[in-house]
Order: sequence, then structure tokens, then C-alpha cells
Amino acid sequence: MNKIITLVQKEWADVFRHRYVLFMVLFMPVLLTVIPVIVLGLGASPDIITGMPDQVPPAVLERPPYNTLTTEEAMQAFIGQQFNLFFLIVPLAIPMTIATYSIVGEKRERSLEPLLATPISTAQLLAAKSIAAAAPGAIGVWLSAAIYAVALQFIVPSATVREILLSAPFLVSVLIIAPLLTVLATTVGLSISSRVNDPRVAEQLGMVVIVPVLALIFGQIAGVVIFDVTVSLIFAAILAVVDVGLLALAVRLFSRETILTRWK
Amino acid sequence: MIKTMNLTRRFGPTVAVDGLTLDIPSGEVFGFLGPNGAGKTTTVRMLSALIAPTDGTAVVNGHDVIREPMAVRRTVGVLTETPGMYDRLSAEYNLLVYARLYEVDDPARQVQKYLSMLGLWERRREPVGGFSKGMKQKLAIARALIHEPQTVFLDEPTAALDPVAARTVREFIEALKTEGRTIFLTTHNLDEAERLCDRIGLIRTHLIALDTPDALRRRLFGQHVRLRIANVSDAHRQTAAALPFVQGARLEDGVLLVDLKDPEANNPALIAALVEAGARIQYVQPVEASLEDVYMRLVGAAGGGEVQA
Repeated sequence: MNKIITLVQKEWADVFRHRYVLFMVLFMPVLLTVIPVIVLGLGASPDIITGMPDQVPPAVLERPPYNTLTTEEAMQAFIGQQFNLFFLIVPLAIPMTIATYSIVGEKRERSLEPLLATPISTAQLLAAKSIAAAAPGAIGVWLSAAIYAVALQFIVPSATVREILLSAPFLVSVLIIAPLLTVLATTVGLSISSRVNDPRVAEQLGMVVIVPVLALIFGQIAGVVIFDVTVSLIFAAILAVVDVGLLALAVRLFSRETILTRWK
Repeated sequence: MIKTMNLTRRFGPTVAVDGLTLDIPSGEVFGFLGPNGAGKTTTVRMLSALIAPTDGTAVVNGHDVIREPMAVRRTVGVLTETPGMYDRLSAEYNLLVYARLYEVDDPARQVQKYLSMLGLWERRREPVGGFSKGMKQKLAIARALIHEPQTVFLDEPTAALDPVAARTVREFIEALKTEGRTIFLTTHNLDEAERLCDRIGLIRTHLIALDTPDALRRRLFGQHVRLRIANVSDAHRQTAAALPFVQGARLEDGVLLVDLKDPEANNPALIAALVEAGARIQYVQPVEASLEDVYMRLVGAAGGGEVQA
């Protein structure tokens, strides 16, 4: 365990010296917390943000507890629910950036071979790289969600709207889906980085993992998908299966032989 | 201590190292020479338990590289072809990371020891990215030694260094010799190999020669004596050639070159015979082939059959 801690500390000491990585890690959670707080604080008027629907889809309005809300409250709840999904970008973007910069950095500095010559197992190395990339993503989304939840108490007058925004799907997404997404982003980031020598290229390729989250966001805005408990749990289950597959791939990629002879 | 038996590594259809058998005792400085792509780095990687052999066995410091790779890695230090330091981190932190990974008892003290020894202590807090090539290489050597390994693999330690930095590194390797560590030195610098190594192995996928530099020279080029004779003539050449211990004699630019067995024992008889034949000998000089001559003959020969002592 000490070796993993040593490596995680080294990873952070190294990768956070990249201004871009540091910017992403700090800026992304702040941005995705501040925007919903401002928008909801201003009453979630459709005039504030372009691209957002100007009225709540009728299918949503017919469902409880929406059918008990005023038009303004319903709009605030509906817009807030879209923002809830935006939080899921944090556990994708941060680990992806850290993982790609970490691996590509090691490849560029040719520091992997001396590291592999030490008495660490490849499982320890993979664990350290994964924790170093995933933990800031998970911590980022949890901190953002906590600040958001506290802020809602002050900017959303309706207790019903607050309940909608902080209901089970939100908790599932923050507490279960977000950590699963950090694993997804980390494993994809590590895998792509093993084949690419430019961290920006690796990051751009890796950002494909955001597509399912974006599909969920746009599906919900269009009223096609409603991110309720069932959908959130199905999404989490699919992610868990995908994560297991990707972890198996990452373990294969993280053999000494593969790193030394095939990583280009 | 390193023992290999028929060590082989293939990458698909390509044979990188073929049937390598070595026995390097503790405390020896072993030079491993060969052209690019000859299998030197692959051998180092197998012996430091980084990649597994396809066939054969290797025991390093008493540990089998296949069955006990972790034990091998604990007892060896590896200087890779490129320093591979973390450029954004300080010299001190770079070494501290490795000291902790090797589970050194007192990492801070060990880091101080090697940074001081290599003249880098004053610059310990600076990012390595700002260091010169020589400084980075010294730091990489410190990293390879931070856990006091019994065996050290040095892969081209002075490549791409300026003469002053290369000399510093060589002096440090010479100092390591006195500490009784086994040193496995891969280099293209034949002068360096000659100066530092007790024995030399020449590889071109398979081992083509293994001996001390002197023995290799003797075996391949024999032992020559150069005699400058004021009144040199072919009669002198014939006198020398007629002696039973002389293997060959020729005149070259007015100098008599004699190829003979055991010059220390036979030179007096050779000189006496030539003087008796009227030669006015001005000086006698031993002629030695350079390690470069040995290398060129062995490696240059296509295929190069094994020339083992």
C-alpha cells in the first residue's frame, strides 16, 4: 500500500505541474457548480441560457410532483434536473485529462522503464495510476454536488423543487454513477495513452466517453428520456459492466512486457 | 552474480537473443558489447526481470528471473539507455520516490548520500528538466544505486555525454568497482570497456566472444614485437622466421614485425639471434591490437562464430 501511496503522490506532484491539468481539475467543478447556481438563482428563465427549452414538456408536467408546481417552479425544477446531469461531466473530464497527461508524460520522459525496474507489481502501478486519475474526479464531483445542494437551500424557495433536484436519481448519479464514470474515463484514458504520444490527442480521443452522458442530457431535454431512479440504476449497471471489461483490458495493457515492447 | 544458461528471447519470428550462456561472478565488471540491435538491451531487460526469456534460464544474485522477478528487482539497479527522470520534479523528490519504492530504510539519508556523492546536493530542489545531460545521467546513476544493489546494469552510461561529464561518470563507475558490486556495462565506447571491464562479452544475437580484453587480443591477433633495425634486411626477417617460437615475420616500412609466442620469455632469444646475424637493433616495442580491432574483426565477420575462452 505504501508503494501505491508513493506513486499516487508522485503522480499528483508531477501532473499538477501542468498548468492545463491544474486548470481542468480546478476549473471544471467550479464552472459546473457556479452555472446551475446562477441560473437557478435567477429563476431559471429560458431567456438566461440559449438552447434550453422555453417550456417544460407536457409529458413531464403531467407527472407528480410537477403537476403540483407553479409554471415558474416547474421550469426551475426542469432546468435544474438538466444541470444535475452536467455534474457527470466532471468525473469524466478530470480523470481523462490526468490519465492521458500522466501516461503520455511517462512515455515522453521515458520514465516507465526505470519505474518498472523497481520491485512494484504492475497491479500496484495500475492501481496508483488509476487512483491518481480517478480520485480528483470523484472528489471534484462530490464537492461540487455538496456545494450545489447547500446553495439550493438558499436559491430555490420551493421545498418541492429542492426535493425534485436532490432526489434519488441525483444521489445515484453522484454517489454511484460518478465513481463508475471515473473508472471508465481512467481506463479509457490509460488505454488510449498507451498508443498515442500527444496528451492532447489522447484526451480528445478519450473524450468520446462523454457521448453517453451527452445523449442522456439531450434525451432528457427533448423529453425522450426521463432520468428517474430506474433509468439511473440501469445506467449505473451498464457502466459497471463496461468498467469491468475496460479494467480487464487495462490489466492486460499494464503488463511489463506490453509496456516495454508495444507501447509506442 | 549472474548466471545464464542458453538464455533466449524471441519477438514473434525475430530472435533478439539466442542461447546466451554467461557466468559473471560477484564483484566483476563485465562489458557487454555489440552493434545496435544485437540484443544488448533485451539481455539487460531479461536479467533485470523486466521481460521474461522465451527459453533458457537466468539467475541473478541467487534469484531466478522467471520464478522470483520481484527478488531480482530488489537486488539489482538499472541505468536505462535514457535517464528517464521526472523533469518537472526536483532531483531530491525524484530520488525519494525511488528510495521509497525500493523500501530503503532511511530514504532521506540515502538520497542525501548519493546527491552529495555526485555533486548534486546544492541543486537538489531544482526541477530536473533544467539539468544538463551529464547531471541527469549522474542522477539516473544515483537512482540505480539508491537501494545499494548487489548488481548494477549500466546501459551506455556515457553515451551522449560531453568528455568531462563522461569522465566523471567513468570515475564513478571505477569507484563502484572497489565496492565489490557486480557491474554489467553495456557500451559502444571500446576505450571505456577496455579501461573498466574485467571481461568482455561480444554479442550479435548470440555470444560471439567472451574473455578478458587482453586474452581476446592475444587470441585474435597473436603477440607482436616491432624491432627497428638500423641496417634492416630480408636476411634479418629470415633469421627471425627460422626461430621455433616465431609464428611469422615481415618487413613493414623498414621495421621488422615479428609475431611470436610468449614475448616475455622469447624476446631475449630473438634479440640475441638477430644481433648474431648482424642486426643493429635500435629499439624493441611490443605491439598490441586495440579492442576496436578485436571488435571489428569479430562483429564485422558475417555471422561470427563463437570464440569463447
